[in-house]
Amino acid sequence: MTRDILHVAVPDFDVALARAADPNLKDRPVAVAAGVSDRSPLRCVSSEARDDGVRPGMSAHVARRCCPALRLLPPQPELAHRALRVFTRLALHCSPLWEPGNHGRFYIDLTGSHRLLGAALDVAARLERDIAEQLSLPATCGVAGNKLVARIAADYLRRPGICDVLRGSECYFIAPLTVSTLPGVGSIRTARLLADLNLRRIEQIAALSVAQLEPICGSFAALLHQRARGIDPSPVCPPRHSTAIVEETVLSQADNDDAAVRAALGRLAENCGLRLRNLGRGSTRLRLQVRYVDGISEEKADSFSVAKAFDLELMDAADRLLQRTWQRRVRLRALRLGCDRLAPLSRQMVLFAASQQENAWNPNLQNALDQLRERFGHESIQWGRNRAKTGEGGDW
Amino acid sequence: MISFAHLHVHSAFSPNWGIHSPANLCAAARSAGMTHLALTDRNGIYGIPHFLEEAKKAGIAPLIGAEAVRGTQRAVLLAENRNGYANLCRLLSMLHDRNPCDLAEALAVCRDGLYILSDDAGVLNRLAKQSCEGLYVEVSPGHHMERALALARSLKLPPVATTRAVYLREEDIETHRVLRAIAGNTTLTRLSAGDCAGPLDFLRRQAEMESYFPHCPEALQNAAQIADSCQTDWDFSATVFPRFRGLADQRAASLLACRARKGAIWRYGEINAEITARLTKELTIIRDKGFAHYFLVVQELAKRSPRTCGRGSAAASLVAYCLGITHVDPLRYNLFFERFLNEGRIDPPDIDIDFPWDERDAVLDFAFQRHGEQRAAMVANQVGFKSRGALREVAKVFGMPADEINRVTRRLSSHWSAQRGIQAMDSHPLFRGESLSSDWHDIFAIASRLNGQLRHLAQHCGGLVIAPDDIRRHVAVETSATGRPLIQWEKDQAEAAGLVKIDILGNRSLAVIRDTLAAVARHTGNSIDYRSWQPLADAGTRRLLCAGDTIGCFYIESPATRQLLKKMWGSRPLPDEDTLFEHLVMASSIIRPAANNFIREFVARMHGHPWRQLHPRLEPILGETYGLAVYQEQITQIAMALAGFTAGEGDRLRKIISKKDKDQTLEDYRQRFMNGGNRKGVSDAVLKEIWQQVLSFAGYSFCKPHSASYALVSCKAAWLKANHPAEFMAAVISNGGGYYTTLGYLSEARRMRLDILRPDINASDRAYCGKNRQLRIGLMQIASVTDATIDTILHERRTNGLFSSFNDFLRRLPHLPAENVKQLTKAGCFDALEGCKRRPELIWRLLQRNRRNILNGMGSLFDTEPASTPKLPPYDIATMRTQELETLGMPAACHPLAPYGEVVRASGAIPAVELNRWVGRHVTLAGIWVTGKPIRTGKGQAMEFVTFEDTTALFDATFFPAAYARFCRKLGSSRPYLVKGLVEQEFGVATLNVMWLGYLDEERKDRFEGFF
Repeated sequence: MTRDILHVAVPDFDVALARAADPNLKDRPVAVAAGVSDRSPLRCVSSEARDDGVRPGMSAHVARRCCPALRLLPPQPELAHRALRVFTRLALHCSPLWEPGNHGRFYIDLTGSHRLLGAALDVAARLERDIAEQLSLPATCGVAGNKLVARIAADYLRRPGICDVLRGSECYFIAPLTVSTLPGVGSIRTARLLADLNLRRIEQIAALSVAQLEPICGSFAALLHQRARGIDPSPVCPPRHSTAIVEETVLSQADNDDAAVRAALGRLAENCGLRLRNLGRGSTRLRLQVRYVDGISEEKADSFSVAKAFDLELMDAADRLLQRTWQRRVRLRALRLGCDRLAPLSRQMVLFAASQQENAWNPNLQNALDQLRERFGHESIQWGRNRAKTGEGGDW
Repeated sequence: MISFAHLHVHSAFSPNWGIHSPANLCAAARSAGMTHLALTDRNGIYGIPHFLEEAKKAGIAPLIGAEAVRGTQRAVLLAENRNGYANLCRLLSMLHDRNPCDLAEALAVCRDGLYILSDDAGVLNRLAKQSCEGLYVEVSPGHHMERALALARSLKLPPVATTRAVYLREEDIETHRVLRAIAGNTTLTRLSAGDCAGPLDFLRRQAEMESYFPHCPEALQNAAQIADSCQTDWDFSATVFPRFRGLADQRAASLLACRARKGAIWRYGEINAEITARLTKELTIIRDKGFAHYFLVVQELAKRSPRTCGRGSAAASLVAYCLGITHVDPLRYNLFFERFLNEGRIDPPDIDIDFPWDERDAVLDFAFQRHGEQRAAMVANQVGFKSRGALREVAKVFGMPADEINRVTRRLSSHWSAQRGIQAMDSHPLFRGESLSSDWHDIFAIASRLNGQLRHLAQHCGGLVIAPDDIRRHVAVETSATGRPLIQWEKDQAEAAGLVKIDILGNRSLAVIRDTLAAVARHTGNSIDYRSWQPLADAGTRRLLCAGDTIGCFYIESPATRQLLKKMWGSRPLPDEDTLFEHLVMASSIIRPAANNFIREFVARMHGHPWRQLHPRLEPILGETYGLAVYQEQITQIAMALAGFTAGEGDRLRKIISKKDKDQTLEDYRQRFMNGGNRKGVSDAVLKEIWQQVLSFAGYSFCKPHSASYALVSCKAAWLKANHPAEFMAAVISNGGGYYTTLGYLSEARRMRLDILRPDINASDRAYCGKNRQLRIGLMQIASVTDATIDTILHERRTNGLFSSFNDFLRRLPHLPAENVKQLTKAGCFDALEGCKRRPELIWRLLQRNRRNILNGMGSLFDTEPASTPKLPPYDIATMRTQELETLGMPAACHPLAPYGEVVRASGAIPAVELNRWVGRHVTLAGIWVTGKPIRTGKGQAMEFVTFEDTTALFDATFFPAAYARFCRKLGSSRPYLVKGLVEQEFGVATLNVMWLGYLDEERKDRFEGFF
């Protein structure tokens, strides 16, 4: 059966959100940076700034030197959440089979809904119009017989519009494009393919057999061969609910001061603890990811035999994890603390306490703190170590 | 008796700990009213000779000591006398030994003559059991004073007050913490209290000390008592010579005389009266000063290689010449022996010998084998912070990412001091318009305080000291990264402490000469006798030297020297052998910074410009150098002739002028020079002019013997270039390390009409290979190809013959790393066998082989047929050029400007070879950057001399301050340039006074954009 997959993408999503909120930013070089300091890396860059050499990942300071007129903006997570809510509503209006992606992208499987919704092209046009009307965001839409080509088609457009690829002609559509267009062909593979074997276009890869591709990219050959021919059988997967609790923060100013970083981490642990206690569960594994200003990330995890949900024990565990994870001297940009493998909080008291320290936390104290915060707000009472100079930014 | 003295003080010579120089500490102690001061750096006596000198200047009585730290054990050691000093050196050497030792146990063995101060209960307990003599409990504010006093009471040991002084000012605390963070590879907030000095560790006045010790005044008295009883009149002036084979002095002197006379017969055939008189004079001085052992030891080392170059002032010695240590005849070229040795010279002379760079380690191995590690050790380099290093390290402590650090620091010279680098950021045109974030301003402020603090020792490239007995009695010895013993002093302090240094240096040009001679012998069967070789007898060689075509020739290949040679001889008839050699010696000496006016005057006089001696007494001294002071020893001679200095005084004046920190001393000498001259009736005007000439030598001049030694090597290299160009250029590139890049030498080879051949799997060796008119690139040039891979390929080729195809190569060498083979393919090594169009297919076949190897190793359930080779498109020209850059690091198939031929023509650029025809006119030239020499004008403005080359010739361009300020940030790129300026000519040599600089590829882009 012929599938109809629609991919919707908002180009330069963060910038588009900012422009939607402030139309004066239109046609100006704009970039969204994770924080407010000179060292903040850029998350998203407008095409005008890109023309001046500004790229995502550059520090704000360098970007300003490339483009003195650059307007730097903070990320606006509330706008992103609002946009996601609208996307969800619009997508669900079309089909229950929809898959949200990162940075203002989503897929909708319109297969078999022609009589209900009309032609996929019409659905795409409506969606594009609705997004423009409800969010003032430009969107590009790709319609094709699979997710791969639909996404390539959406990115193919340089301005808002719809690119509808004739079903069955997907391989011809992508044939003349450069191999780096294919997902999975990262910089290393691209380099190898392009420079060493002189394969520049997708059709040249499609012309090779899987056996001929195997020496080049090993077990990825079959998938690459399939993709090069415009074939992608992967289904559109609706969002799955995850039980893991994740809290993250972008430090407002990149720092390598232990106290500031521990304070930010402590606040994450507190938030995680509160969410765990609200669920009446504890975490048996803590996962910490640190991201340095130079873009390098490091992740480590710690497992426990007894589920943890109280602030002090979570902060202690997070501190130990931080020591193991933060090995370089380079300043940290962001922290992400995850609690997974949730388990019911044990009611069984320990018969023989191993040490005084293990019993240092007091459930009654924690309850009292939670009640105070519920009544007077989270900021009403805090652990002293978490009150440091560094504030939190937003999502990363 | 004094009432208190600081016995525990750290200077900047405490690695990664101390902050202030001994001079600052002495001045601070003096202003605090102290009469005595101990220097106790951590685990070393790294700065003792400096400290003794500074203490003498400040009028402080110096105490020698060290703080010995081993794990958690620590003790301050003070030398009571010479025996104590020897034990101190021995103990510190033990602490640096690779086998761990216990501090208490080591002290128990070497405590004689030492005062031991510690608050370490373990150390004190162990030593107190042995004896309580010279044993004290160290009590310092901020360091558990009560616990220390309790320990003193329990062990019945006297307490002694110290401050463990590191700081002089409050800001030093931050500097110290940054130093500790740098040393510990950590951040400021992760430093623990134990990692740093205490916050009270200041060099304090006596009154402050009394306020800290109201309950224990005897601790202060004990400090004073120790200071009083320690030796303070240290004298290291006695020279420590090696002893040749354990001979007595007299025997060594006679053996030397005997060898010198035999050598004279070998050198001259017979000994005439002049030789006898010179030998007798030299041997007498050598014997009287006890240098005979030294000469014999050096001769033994020099004999290890047939090709050496004894350089420095030693080349003025006939004895050294006869012993084969040096190779320039001092009688023939009138070399001044007093520059090397004279009655008044109190410091030891040093003899420097160059060996081919790849033979030097073997010579050092021999020296250590002969003299043993007990007596021989290498001289250290004390590595501190320079501008770039200081900024980088502080920035890392502050958590800056590497790319940002590189961006800020890459334009700083690695040789500048931290202060100078930071000043440059404010004023130098290279940094104009640079805006830096606020974090960097803090980093700059701290980095500017890192000035001369010792970080670690490194091994001096060739300085060797040999003592007659255990060297660890004279200085503490560590072990270098290469496993050799390493003294804790660098060359100046070693010299100040009387240790005689033998410099065994690596010289790439000697290896070039060796390799070229070997290649010539291989290709032609002609072998050249190195010792009897007279290179300047060949007219072709003389022509090459006079034309300044000396790229690749040792020491005379820089643009400045080549220009000077052209100016000197360009329009004159070919000189004879001796005249050319004399002038070559002068040319290599007169090239020095800020000497342009002298050089111009020198060339003018050589071309017949009238001149007269400033004073008749200068005639015998400056007559041979056209009335201008060119050589270092002329300073000595002038001072002797005009101002009545003795040879020793004149020599000291020469040394002072060469040193950097000289202001006060030099002023004294200037006064003496003027007074002496006035007494001899020389006018003030003449004396002032002469003094200015003499000052131009500061730091950068050579003595005639040194220049003559080098000139001889230059002439030999020039002979090889003139007569065997392919072999010579191959050796120059293969040995590396010349003034120019490999690309620069390849361009020179092209200009010499040599064919450059790509690397080839069947024809290339490891090194470059030159034969007839062809120069083949060696496999060593291919990036990322390991030595082991090259060895395997060459071995297989030698054993089983040439490779017949790429498949044959893969079959015979199945285990070569795929990445290496890929690089070989991309470099074109298989083009001769398979053709360049099949490179992509070859790479696929290589990948397929690799895949098969992996699958075979895993074992497969189903046998699969190997896939057929796909038909892959051949590379286009641009891709092949990119691969050439990637694998060889430079364009090799053609000149880098060749692809721009059309743009160059369209731009109206003239060929560089015709520059002389455009004198006085504004012209445009295309070129690639070859080398640059940034300098500062007399007014302190930055400017640069740059050499470019186009496809026809090299050309020199001058960026005067205005042009430099505008274009300096564009210089040094590997992109092709378009240069516009005014052609100027001096003594027949044309240079370009640059008015505008741009990139040629931008010109091309603009042109293409214009088309569309």
